Amino acid sequence: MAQRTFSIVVNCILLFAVFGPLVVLIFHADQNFTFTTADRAALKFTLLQATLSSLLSVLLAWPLALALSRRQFRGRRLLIVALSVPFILPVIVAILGLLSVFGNSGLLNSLLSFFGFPVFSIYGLSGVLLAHIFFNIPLATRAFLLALERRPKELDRLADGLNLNFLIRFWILDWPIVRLIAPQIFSLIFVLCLTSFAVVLTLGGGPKATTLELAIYQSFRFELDFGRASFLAFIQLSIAALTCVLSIIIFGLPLNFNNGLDRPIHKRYLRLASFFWDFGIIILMGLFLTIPLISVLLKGVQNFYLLEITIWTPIFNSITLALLSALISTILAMGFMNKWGEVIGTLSIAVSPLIIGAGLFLMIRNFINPFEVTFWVILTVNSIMGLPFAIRIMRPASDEIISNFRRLSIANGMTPFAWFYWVYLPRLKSALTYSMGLVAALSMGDLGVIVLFGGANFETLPLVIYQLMSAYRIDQAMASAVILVLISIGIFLIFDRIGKTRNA
Amino acid sequence: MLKLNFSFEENYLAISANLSLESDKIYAVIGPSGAGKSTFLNLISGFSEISSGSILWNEQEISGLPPSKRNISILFQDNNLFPHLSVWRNLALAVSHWPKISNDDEAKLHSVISEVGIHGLESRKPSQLSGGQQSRVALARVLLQKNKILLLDEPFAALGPSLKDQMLELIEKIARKRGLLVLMVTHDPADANKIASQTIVVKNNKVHPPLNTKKALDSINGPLADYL
Repeated sequence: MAQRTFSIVVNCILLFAVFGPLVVLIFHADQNFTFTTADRAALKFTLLQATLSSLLSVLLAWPLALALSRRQFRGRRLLIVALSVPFILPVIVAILGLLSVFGNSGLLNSLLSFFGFPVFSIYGLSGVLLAHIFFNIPLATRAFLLALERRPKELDRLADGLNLNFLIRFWILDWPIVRLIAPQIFSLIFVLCLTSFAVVLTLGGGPKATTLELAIYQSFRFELDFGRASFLAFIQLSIAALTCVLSIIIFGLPLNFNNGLDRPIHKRYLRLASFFWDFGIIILMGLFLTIPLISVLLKGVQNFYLLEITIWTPIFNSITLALLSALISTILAMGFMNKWGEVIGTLSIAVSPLIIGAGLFLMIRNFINPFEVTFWVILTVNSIMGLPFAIRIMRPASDEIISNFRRLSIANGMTPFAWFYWVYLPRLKSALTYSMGLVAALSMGDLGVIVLFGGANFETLPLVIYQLMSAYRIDQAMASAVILVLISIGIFLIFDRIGKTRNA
Repeated sequence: MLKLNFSFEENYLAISANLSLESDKIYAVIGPSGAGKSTFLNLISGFSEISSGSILWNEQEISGLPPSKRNISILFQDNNLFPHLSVWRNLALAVSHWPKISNDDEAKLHSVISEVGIHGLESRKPSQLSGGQQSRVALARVLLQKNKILLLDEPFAALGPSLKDQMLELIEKIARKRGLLVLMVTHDPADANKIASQTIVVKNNKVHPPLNTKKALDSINGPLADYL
């Protein structure tokens, strides 16, 4: 009963916090709005980059997943674990890393110009694509890998026995998996790239490379044209929601990619050519995914002396935000341990944090100056954004506790409070801390609404890094990025450790 | 006296019962799998609700009451103990939900601990106990509830034959001392022969009134001839 009440309360809070801003936003949309050339360009670029990003990610992830699934080598487990790092890695750090490799004076261009080739520009479409595939190849690879490892090993042996050539083998063994997983992954990445903000903010921009999300931000922050911003937000929301709904209707609810991927593989006889192909892919992708990070970390550490004392305030702000939003998301998620949670978790990726932030702004500005309550606005948005992750992590654990121990608790005549204190909370502990660690890390690295609201009144660490970057103080930005990475991963690991300690 | 007169229907299962059980006897409950033995116990204990009829304990209606108010304790097939809590805390939760328990309750715990013979294991977690020890702790837990009816839904099925026999002997001893009504689901006629003088046959959607165990288990003329 108590749980039911809690569930209802949480539902109401969420309805208010999510749908409130959306409704306000829609009402603000300019009725007489006409699509300018710039808006049309933004829409076109949004769809183009999202399509290309998802296509490239899926196409590049498949050979990597295949190679990882059929090769056994030292460091394989580490590599697979590393595939989940980009997920909690602050976007701004990855961008700095990509800049240091692919930027104007980066590694790649030094090599290119040394050999007399034309210089590669990271700004515009190519940079946006580069960053998006950097983030999404690991995601897609994990999804493929999971499906490949679930496939009965007998099928591989059977194919070996029949001595099938590689085309027929692909058609019989691999194609069914690709056909099942690829569309799901494609639509997930498509929606993520549709609403991607920090990447386009830093690497895109200008009339040629502006997305709807960026246009919303610009008309909101600089032109103060709320009608236009709301209208664009409405269009973006419609596209994202349509993609989500269509993909759920056509492909079903997305699979859960959280499971472990460390099962041993059996030995197989493979041709020498495929040996070189597989390790070529693994090494190439491994380098693509790690060099930017290593580069930013190395350069950052060398530039530690540039850090100023003023960095303490944003550090403190970011940690406070991260911990509080982790706490709020996780507590709210406990009210969503039901089917609704699954639906909300899936649909919420269609709503970008920026849109919620903008809606909240319009909602509260009649009562209070939003810039005076920046902290609370950002806390709200970050908590909402963390919610789907918290739900997805905790739901399976919660279901298991209920199915295993509810009867025993009833037999003991436990009150809801006693059940919560003695059974539910301690048994949920590891999922709970994992969820908190993840949401905290995500919130720590968030560079979304803060760009809309933040400024001299309130700064977070990612915002400071972005400002340093915009001011071409790249060295100082990289030094700060190292701090950000250390804190993000540190918080994540501390929560992980707390979750693994045994109960007293 | 426990008077059962009810029917129950669910998607794939329907059972009806009309029988009276004496307050201080041990009954075996036996029948083909899927016949509804566990459901029968769940209906008595309140984890499922009967569709119509009544369950009277000493002339008082107990159907409709929550499980903890029915004067009934039940041992399940598994998950009888909380794995993250010590033996002591598992037992303490049967008497109080507060972290600190009273001296009275503490004395109760000590007495039941010696009754089932698990002295010295209080601070261990269930995973640090053997199967037999776990069964004893689970039994201690239900004994603390001081209920007059004890339902056993094959809690000892995972034990080896000699450990199981030990547990059955312990149950018999305690039931006699405390005057408990015991209903014991089993697959094994030997269990029934060992401690139950009466046997309830569950078969063909019906809970049959108790028979003398020898008669019930007669493999040629008994009601379970085709099953045995």
